[in-house]
Amino acid sequence: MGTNLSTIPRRDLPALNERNRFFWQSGKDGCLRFTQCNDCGHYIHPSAPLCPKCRSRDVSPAVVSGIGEVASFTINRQAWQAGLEAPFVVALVELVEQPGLRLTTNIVNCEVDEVHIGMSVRVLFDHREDVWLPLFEPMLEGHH
Amino acid sequence: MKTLEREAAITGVGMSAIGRTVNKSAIELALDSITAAVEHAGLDLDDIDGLCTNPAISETPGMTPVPLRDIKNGLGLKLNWFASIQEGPSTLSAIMTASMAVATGQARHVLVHRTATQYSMSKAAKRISMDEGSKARRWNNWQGWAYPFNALSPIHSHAMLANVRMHRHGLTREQLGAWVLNCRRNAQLNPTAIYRQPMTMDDYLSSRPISDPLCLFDCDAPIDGSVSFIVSAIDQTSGMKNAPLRVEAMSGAMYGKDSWDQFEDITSTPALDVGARLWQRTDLKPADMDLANIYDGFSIQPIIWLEALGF
Repeated sequence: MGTNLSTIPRRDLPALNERNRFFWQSGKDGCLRFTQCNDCGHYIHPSAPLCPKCRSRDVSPAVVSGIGEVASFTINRQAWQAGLEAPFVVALVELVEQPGLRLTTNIVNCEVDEVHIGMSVRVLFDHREDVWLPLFEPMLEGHH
Repeated sequence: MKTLEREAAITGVGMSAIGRTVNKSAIELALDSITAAVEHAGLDLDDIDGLCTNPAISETPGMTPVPLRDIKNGLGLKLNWFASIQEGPSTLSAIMTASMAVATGQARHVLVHRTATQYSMSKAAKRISMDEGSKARRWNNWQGWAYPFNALSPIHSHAMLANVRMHRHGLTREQLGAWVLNCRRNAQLNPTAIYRQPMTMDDYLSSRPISDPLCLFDCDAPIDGSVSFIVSAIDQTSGMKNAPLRVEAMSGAMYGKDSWDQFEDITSTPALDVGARLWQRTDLKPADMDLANIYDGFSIQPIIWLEALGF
């Protein structure tokens, strides 16, 4: 049931800059990273040079589990541009590391009507140009 | 608590042709609404000594086709104060800022202006093909976090908001539909409304799905058009053509993380805080209200606003 990620039509990518480059290229080694405060442990996303909780400036990218749950999702049915294939799932995935640490993403490797709120998912990456897009797929039962 | 916003009043309003076939350039639409607003207020362009627009610049095509300086320079306005509001706590930030300008004596009559050409731009966007060109387009800001995942429309964030409210709080399609039908009934009374044909709950429920759980009639309808207001200092309003529409209290989204996907409580949006702060600034209560004009680009928004404002 694996989706061939390279066949998903995409024509938009993030513009990379000094602050977000580590995030978008993190998947190169298969790991998802967020900026984390080295003083209080808070994850900061989108990345910023200081921690909004304790205002420490000692922050750096840290590897996370890549495991989360579907906080909400929508099954898109509209082909917004020629060549875009519907349906597909746009989801908000909340990472297990921190309440509110979320990514807008796609859920792949399952039927669109299998996706539900609270579903356990794990990251995989779709490599396009110099960017590794973090997508998510269902966790197998018993692997939580 | 000081509530200096009560020193401000709206004294005129003007609208250009609004719709999908207006066949006018953005600057023409802007001039039409500005002229209408100044005329409605019984003023002359030379009475205008303040100018405020929202948004000022925008990465979203069609959102800001007329920059403030095109108005200022184009009309040769002699201003005591101006501001273009890109970052603010509300889509009404320009009116809020203009109110503060007249309340602090920076200007007497502020022209507040907004033009959009979202329909023309969305038509142009539809002609884009996914496989056009060898390199991807690159995006900054919120688009950079959404577009790469083909979350290309604002409906996606609104659909996820609606979905999580259905999941947690039992919101139904019929409840969204009740709002949509009410708007359609009101539109039949409004000669400038775009969609005026009657709609039943069956029409609503059977409309084309766009992004679950939202369908065609839940959606914002992009248009081309322009609206202008005149915000006047209250001490300038005696003898003016219209009775001043006074500002009683104003409030905007101040708290929480400014983000579509990182907001602390994904079911609420910042609306809850806006409501709480608004009622702190007045002795009036929700039960005193006879009329509420609530932004309803997508049908889920007014549901949230009704709760947040205490109705």
